[in-house]
Amino acid sequence: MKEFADFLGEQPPFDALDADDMARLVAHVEVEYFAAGATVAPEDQPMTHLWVVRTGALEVVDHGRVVDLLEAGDTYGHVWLLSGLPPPVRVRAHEESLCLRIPDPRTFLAHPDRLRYAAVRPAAGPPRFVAGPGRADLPLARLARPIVWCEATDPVRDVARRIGAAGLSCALVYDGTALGIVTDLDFRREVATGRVAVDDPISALATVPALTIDQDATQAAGLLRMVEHGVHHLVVVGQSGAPTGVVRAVDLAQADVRDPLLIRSAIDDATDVDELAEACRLLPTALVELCDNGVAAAHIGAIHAAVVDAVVRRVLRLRHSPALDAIRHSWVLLGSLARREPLPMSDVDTALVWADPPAGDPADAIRAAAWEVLNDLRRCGFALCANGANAHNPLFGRSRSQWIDAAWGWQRDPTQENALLLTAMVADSRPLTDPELGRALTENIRSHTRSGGFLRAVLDEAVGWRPPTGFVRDFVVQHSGEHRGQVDLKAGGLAPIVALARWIAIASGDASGTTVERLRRGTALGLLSTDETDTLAGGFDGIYGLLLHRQVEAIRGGQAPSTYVTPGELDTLTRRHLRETFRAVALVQARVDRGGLHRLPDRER
Amino acid sequence: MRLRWRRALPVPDPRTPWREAEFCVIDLETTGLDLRRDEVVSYGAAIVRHARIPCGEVVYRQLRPSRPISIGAMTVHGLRAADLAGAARIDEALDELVGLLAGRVPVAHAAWVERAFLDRALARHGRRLHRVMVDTAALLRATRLDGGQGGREPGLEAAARRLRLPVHTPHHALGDAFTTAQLLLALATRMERGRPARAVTVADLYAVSRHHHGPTAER
Repeated sequence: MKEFADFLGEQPPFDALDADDMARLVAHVEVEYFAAGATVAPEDQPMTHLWVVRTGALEVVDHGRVVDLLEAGDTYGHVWLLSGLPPPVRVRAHEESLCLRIPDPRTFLAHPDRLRYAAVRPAAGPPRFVAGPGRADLPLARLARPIVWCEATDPVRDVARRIGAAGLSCALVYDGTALGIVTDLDFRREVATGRVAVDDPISALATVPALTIDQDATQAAGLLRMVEHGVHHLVVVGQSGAPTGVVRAVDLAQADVRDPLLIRSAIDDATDVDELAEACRLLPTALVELCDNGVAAAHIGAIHAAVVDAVVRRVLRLRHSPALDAIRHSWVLLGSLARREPLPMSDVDTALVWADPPAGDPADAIRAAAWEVLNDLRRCGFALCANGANAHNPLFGRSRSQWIDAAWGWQRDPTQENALLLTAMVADSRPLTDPELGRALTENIRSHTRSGGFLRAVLDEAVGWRPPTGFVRDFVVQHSGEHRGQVDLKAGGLAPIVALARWIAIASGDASGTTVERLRRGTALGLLSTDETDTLAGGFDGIYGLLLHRQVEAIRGGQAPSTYVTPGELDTLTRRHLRETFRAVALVQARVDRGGLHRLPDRER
Repeated sequence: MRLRWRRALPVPDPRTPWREAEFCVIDLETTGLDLRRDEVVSYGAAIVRHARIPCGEVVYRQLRPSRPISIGAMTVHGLRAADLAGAARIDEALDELVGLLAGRVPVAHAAWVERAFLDRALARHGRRLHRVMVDTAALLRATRLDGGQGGREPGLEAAARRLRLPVHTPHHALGDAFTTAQLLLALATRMERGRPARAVTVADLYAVSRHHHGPTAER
């Protein structure tokens, strides 16, 4: 059966198998012939086999519409086989076709890990679709260290001795009402400087309440929490909430994974913008190292966002401006940073809300002060929004009542200029300071009745982002200009999913969360089926991971990262996987477009 | 010497739809083309079950003939006496052949050649093939896919290419048996096209094989 061995040996996912496994694979092949129009794999039935087209062509059909053509060498079904989900589409023979039918190869190969299902660079951790936890994903319970307990009244001197004797770097204090923590740093800062005496009670030194984390949380989640809060210790708690151990930054895997914490420390310690800029310069390297350590893309995004949060907060603390000090105000992040899923080169998009002034109009002075802050961010190496979503822009810097009026206006008349675009931008917002005031941007999403016309318009805008699907073997690519022959993974891959998730956020009146969290919320609310959510969430994770890794590779190579890829540069499997993802996303889009509004609760249609 | 009455190997009920029947597609390489004297040097077999060919169930065997291999045959299949010195005699392989063929519809390309050699070998066991075989060369003629070669048997390789089927190692017993099995799937599937109401049965395949047999078989 050399013919099939040679043929399969050239096709992913089989092209990395050794000779023994190839022989096993071929021994499991069954050859089947299909007349034109005959069904190869029906829809909505769990798949038990993969199909590889040997000669001829197969059509992928959704609701009677042909959405793709599979030709010789194309494999169908691995996504459904691996996920265990029934495919929502039917596959039939486009012409007379000879196909190879293969049972789940993971069940009989000696080295199933060599099946190249990976949609991202195979070197980084296990393949994505047969993946177990990555190296940075051990539960914290396995890393936690024992606790040194002390009474609030214990002298500092005693506690220090006990921490040293236990070979640890912190102790927990329980005063009957709250949990506190004392770390090495406190001794250095407070005792060594004489601010607290060695005979004082330990409560004078303790930080209350101590930051806790669930023992089932992963290492990466622990790291994220440390970066978010700028601490080096977390108290690990069990299900009852009782402390079971302590985890330190140094316990969190490889030394390089701690890098974001070093940056976070450098950010917090910066005394001027120059020092801050120095600290920010470490960020791209940290992202590269997180990637190299196999940290999941979603976590890298969250850590990246936490670092940017810290930078913006530090800039605000370093730059005092009389105009801003004089009035209650809130800095709000927009876009991918608000969703905590930035790419390495994402712009920093901001908005500003200030309390309604009792008299006069301080808007000009406030916007001028905002510009100073944004300028500092630029000095730290961050790009501001090229499309104008910046806090000093009158469109994005307004008083509270102006924001509410504007949002009202967009809802009443979604056809007015930029209404939908601004609604979308505002729906992705996360207040960084004075969150209560900052929520003015999205408050109206919650509190006002939404008309069916507005939600329909938002949905039309959302499904207007089309994944690049088509009949051609590869993708619909740009036909002219600088990116001729390339696919924009951001506009074509992420945007359609992000936009649908945003529609859910707007329809459900809850602007919080990442794209995947919003999608899950959509399932809970009946706006998406579980399968649709899994398809979209899986597609987002896959494409986001691919883009992140490509941008990290560009950073490593000293090139400017881009969201465009040339399909020919991707390995065959990634290309096919992307194509399958685009197709699946387009299907969900079409379904939501047809029936999405009917899924809303009655009063909101 | 004439042997006693020989029992035909059992075959499935001819009324069985072809997609439900089991087939054994067989191909032989021989020492020459003298149907009475030449001998089998190798055979390959592929099973067709549920209209699928399981690659894990193919069989290939080399045999040691008692007479020399003709130059003509050797240039076709490339097997020399020295290559077969350690191989079994056909008598030792008969059980395997019977096991492959019993209960299955026998299929070959230009089946009269295979029938002649196999019947002669099986005779020593008191067995013979079923009265009719499915002949893919005849199916090609019936579907006018024989390339319009008139009297000659349509070539296996050329026919497979015309039907856009992969060609497995030509002039190798297993390669040709497998290519023939694919041909069977493609041709039987095409025969279904004209008759959506009734399934194509084993009997239909027999009938076509008989009515469109090649000129050489008319004796």
